[in-house]
Amino acid sequence: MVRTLLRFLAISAAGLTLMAATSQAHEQAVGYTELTVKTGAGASCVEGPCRLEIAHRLSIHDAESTLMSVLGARADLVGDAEAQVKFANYVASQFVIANAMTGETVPLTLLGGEVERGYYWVYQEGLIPAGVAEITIRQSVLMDAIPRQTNRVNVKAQSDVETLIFTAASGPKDYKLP
Amino acid sequence: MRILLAALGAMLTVSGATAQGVQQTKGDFVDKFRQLDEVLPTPNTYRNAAGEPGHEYWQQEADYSIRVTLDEPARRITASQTVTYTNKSPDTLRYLWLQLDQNRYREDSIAEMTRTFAAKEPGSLNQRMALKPQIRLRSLRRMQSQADHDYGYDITRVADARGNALSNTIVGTLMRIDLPQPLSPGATTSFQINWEYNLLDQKAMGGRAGYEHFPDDPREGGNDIFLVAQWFPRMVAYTDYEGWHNKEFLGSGEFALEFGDYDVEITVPNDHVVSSTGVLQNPRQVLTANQRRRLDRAERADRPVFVITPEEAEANERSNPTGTKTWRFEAENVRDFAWASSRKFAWDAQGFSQPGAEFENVMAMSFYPKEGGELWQKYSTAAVIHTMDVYNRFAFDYPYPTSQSVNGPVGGMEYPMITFNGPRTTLQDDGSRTYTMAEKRFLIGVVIHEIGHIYFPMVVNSDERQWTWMDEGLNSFLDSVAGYEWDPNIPWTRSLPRDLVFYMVSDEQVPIMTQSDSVLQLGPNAYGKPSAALHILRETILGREKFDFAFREYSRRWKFKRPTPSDFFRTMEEASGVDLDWFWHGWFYTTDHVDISLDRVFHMEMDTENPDIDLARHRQDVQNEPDKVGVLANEAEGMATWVERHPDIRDFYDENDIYTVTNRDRNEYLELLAEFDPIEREVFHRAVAEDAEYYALEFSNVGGLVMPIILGLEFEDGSTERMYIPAEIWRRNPHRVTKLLVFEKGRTLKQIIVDPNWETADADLENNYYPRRLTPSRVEAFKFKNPFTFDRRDIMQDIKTELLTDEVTEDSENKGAARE
Repeated sequence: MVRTLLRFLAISAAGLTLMAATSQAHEQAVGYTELTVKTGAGASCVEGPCRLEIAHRLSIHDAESTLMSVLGARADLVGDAEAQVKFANYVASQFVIANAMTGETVPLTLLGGEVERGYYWVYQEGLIPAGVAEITIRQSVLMDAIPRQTNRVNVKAQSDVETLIFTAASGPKDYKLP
Repeated sequence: MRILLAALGAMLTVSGATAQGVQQTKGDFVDKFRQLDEVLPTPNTYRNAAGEPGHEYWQQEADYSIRVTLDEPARRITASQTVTYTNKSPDTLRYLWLQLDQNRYREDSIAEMTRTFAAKEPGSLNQRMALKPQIRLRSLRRMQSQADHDYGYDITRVADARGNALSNTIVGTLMRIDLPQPLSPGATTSFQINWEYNLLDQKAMGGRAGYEHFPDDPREGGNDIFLVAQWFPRMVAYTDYEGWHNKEFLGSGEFALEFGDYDVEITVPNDHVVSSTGVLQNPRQVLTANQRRRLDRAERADRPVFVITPEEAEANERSNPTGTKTWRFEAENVRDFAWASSRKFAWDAQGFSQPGAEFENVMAMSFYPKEGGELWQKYSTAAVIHTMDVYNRFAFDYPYPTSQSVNGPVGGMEYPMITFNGPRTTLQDDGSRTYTMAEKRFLIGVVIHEIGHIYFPMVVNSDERQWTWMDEGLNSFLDSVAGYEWDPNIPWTRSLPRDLVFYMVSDEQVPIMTQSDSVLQLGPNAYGKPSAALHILRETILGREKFDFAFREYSRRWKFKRPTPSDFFRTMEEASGVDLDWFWHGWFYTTDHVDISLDRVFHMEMDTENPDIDLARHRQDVQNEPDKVGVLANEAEGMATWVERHPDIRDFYDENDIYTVTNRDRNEYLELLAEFDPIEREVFHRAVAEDAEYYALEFSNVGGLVMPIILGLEFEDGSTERMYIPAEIWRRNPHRVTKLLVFEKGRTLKQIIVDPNWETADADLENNYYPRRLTPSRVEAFKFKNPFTFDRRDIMQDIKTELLTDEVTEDSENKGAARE
């Protein structure tokens, strides 16, 4: 336990002085990710490779407090292109998909991000080679800045939706591919 | 496809059993329109079947007199209070329960003992994913704060009016006081409690109140803003539907409280400014003559007037107290009381006029430190006034003399006449203060929301501990109405049907009708989804006139009373005159989502039965079919058919196809006409003459939630039409329905869109189009718009780019260094 603490402290010492974001009784603190699994010619991801499409939807206000407190960037996601790049890269770094059997990370391409009303969207895509039956997913975006942050990942395959919920207390979660 | 009119006349036989009992045990029929009789509590003399307070409605009354002193250096408050409790229930009470909310922060409270450890689970999966197990610094800060301070009440005395000690028992966040004499119906008792506690370091501990320290202020030792709430032992609600509401305070479920009158004396350092529930009773003792003059002027002003200017507030930041001052406030008919104190506050005020109301001039006021800056000067008091303006239309005239917004560490929290709101400006290196668009939206949004709470639940006193949605949902609905009335171009996000699709399709959710502490996702569950539901009810299902009448009636009925969900459901139905049981059931009692699919459309033509017309049409239909590929291939190969090679051998049937009309057909037609009775004949001839366009639309309900079907119809002639089919179309088959549409001859449809204006939170838009429109996914659409992706940018190089102004070079280097 002690070793765990020390290891973490060493990692995030830089974040310590910047931890000013408020915890709010009325903060929504919910991130949404839509992960669409598209089967190819085969009906399942075991038979053929599957494409992954990922869209993250985050409240701009939550995103800006993260920019400020975690990334040390100017908190203006709407007006500052550099902040957008920083934030999109940060979001991509917090979302991990791995082969559940081998633990191998699935490389995801960051396509970019855009502002839509009060939301900031970040897009990624990836390819799962044939033969993978199960993946492991972790989504910890914004949790460094907002302790109550909950991330909901809706995994859509064919017409089914399975929701995986991530909080600061939860670890990675497994998802059985179609 | 053709139909015969006679067939239309024959009604479809309705098959399938209608549910006779509570459970449908055969087939897949679901009665989505089943009345809520078994679900809602039985009406009684306290709450009647119309959703109104019954003829014997009662509620308790708790009046408080409190003397409290703030010890600024120790950040501790000490108080003595007298509670006068009137038992208006028909029951005799042998003991009373009080809420000790501060005990939630004791290390041995249920809330603290059941806090889940906010760390990543260590384990092989983490390691494989290259994750380090971690504990968060916030958690450490909180643990340290808890270790360094004793949080929770020190109750030093509990005594009756004569000063005799009263036996009491503390159970977590509750305290039972045993009465020496049972309190009969109609009787009043009074008792005293002395108590003290350490205010919370809000930044470390979170919560709805506490202090925030500003170490960088010019004053030695810095300054604090104190927000004080849930601060005194409050009576637990005792009601007709639950008796004593003694459910432990776990943090999520807020408060169930009684109305009463308050007389509160607040003693603070004499350079502090106090904002509080109620009306200041001794301005001559605590305000300067100049401040009082400014307040008078503010009453009739049309823009906020500074009572304490930002410059004066900044000067006060350097001040040191030379003693204490006691601010005395009185509040009538409130369910709670909160206050704030600091020497950092600037103070502005503006009167809000509501002619004919009990309080014709309400003082809207804001208190904020320099960190609030221009954001607060421009928008706080303005948003307070806008809120009252809008909510007065939907509910009732604002029923109190003051309405305040105070900046401090709490993001957003509501109390009678006073709210705490968090947004601030950011201090830039050049000393200026700026704010982003999102921060502006947050400030206006949160002030509207929290001031809105003064109506719901501070006056329409719903039970927050049990049903968060009753105040948060209704209030989120109204705050979004007010937000769009402020400026529809501000990107408000969480309250419209379209904002909730993501949540509603997810499979991890609980119905809105769930006790607050057990709700999985409080934001979308208790704020967003009920708000979206009410928007749909207002704009789509009932229409504004019926909805607004019913909502205002609910507000009027339950003003200064305690409604339950059934009172809301019943009132909205009774006052609008529309059966809404299906709507409450679907939106509030289930986790279904909305997804209506338009599966198929058939365009049909009337058969005239006249062979000279119908047979020609049949021939045309066949001729319109594409040629057979094998025959085409034969032709392409130059193959001559047998009949082409033997043209001499032809007969009658080569000249007359199977659609050739004979007199036998014509006679049959005449016989058919002769068989019609006069009414049938008239109907038939008229229909043939009109020769209308018939369309059969097949819908399926993929999401499960029954909803009205809204159709956007676009005709070949370019005209459009909106059609509304009430939800009751699903009553006999909640899975699949067919609707026949009839248009005059020549009005042919080009396109049909279900829910074209995104009114109903329909989750899958692709199946809303007929003909189907290929809808790209968000990711595909984005890739199409932005063929270049972020990861193709050479940030390592780009980051070296210098800004094209004169003085940047040095500055940007400094910033770069500071960041590291």
